Amino acid sequence: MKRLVAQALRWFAQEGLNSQDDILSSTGKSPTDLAYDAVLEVLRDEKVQWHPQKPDEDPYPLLVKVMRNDFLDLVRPGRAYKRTQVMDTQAEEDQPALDNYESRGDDLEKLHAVLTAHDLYKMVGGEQDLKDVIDAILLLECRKREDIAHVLSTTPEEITRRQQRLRTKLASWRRTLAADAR
Amino acid sequence: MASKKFSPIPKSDREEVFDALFGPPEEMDEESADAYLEAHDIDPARLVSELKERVSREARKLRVAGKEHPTPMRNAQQGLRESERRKSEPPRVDPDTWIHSLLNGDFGSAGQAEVVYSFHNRRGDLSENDQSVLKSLDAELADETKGETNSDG
Repeated sequence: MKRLVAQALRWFAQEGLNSQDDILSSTGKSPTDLAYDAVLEVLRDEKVQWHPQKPDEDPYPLLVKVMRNDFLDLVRPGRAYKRTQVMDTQAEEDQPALDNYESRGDDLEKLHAVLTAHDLYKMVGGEQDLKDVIDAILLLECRKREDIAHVLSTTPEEITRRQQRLRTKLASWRRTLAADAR
Repeated sequence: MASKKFSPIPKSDREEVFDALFGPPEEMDEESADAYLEAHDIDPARLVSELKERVSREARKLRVAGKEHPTPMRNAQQGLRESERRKSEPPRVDPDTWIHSLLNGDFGSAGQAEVVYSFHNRRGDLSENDQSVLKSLDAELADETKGETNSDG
């Protein structure tokens, strides 16, 4: 449940919805509702069926796929939900190279509005190895872990570890932003 | 991997960028999940109790509609009943372990190890305490059987 709810929070944040209140007032469904619905859908055994191959198989990968479909139904174009800009886009003195980043299309423009490279730089602080990952993804447009590892001359396993650190940073950073906003 | 009857929707470019930055959803780990929940003031223990309530509600809904409970739901109910009867669930049970047990119906192995009492002493007599425990279990079972008979009828 923890991982499901955390993933739901991350997806809502991708849509610019960061607080529980924003999410509920915009979509009518909380991240926890999404997670519970996914579990109940699997328990109903109708549209989705859980047949583990091993007794200790983790149901999370199946549950998160079910939840993603529900999430996309919730936020797909045409549904009226309000996007909230919460990121601090104020420029700092030492402008990062990513200020030259140009979005390629509608999707990236939206992304850029929600989560700018500059914000990401601020989020990771002085941790250069994490900045390198951001550069590889936003400047060099690498999407696959292997490609990111290749351009940074490291291993995919190391990129996985950095992604994990980025996730934790994102969560802590949001907590800081929320505290500042109060 | 579990079999399923639905097709995942292809990822948008935005999702790909986010997944490249923060890892795909399948890789959400405990530590990050804890950080997210803490950032949003969500209590993990509350997640479990709320899920229990929702499963019970769903089971009742199916029973009222006269529908047969699917196997995963039966497993979940069985697990919930065992959990309720034993009252031995640790107060800060881990939600991910719990949900795994819920779907697999193996609450016996998922909880902490506990002492299982025999209801007989060495002479074969029941103690007063054992008798009262058995009576309460008997009453609980009778209530449940009655409830199920009523809903079936």
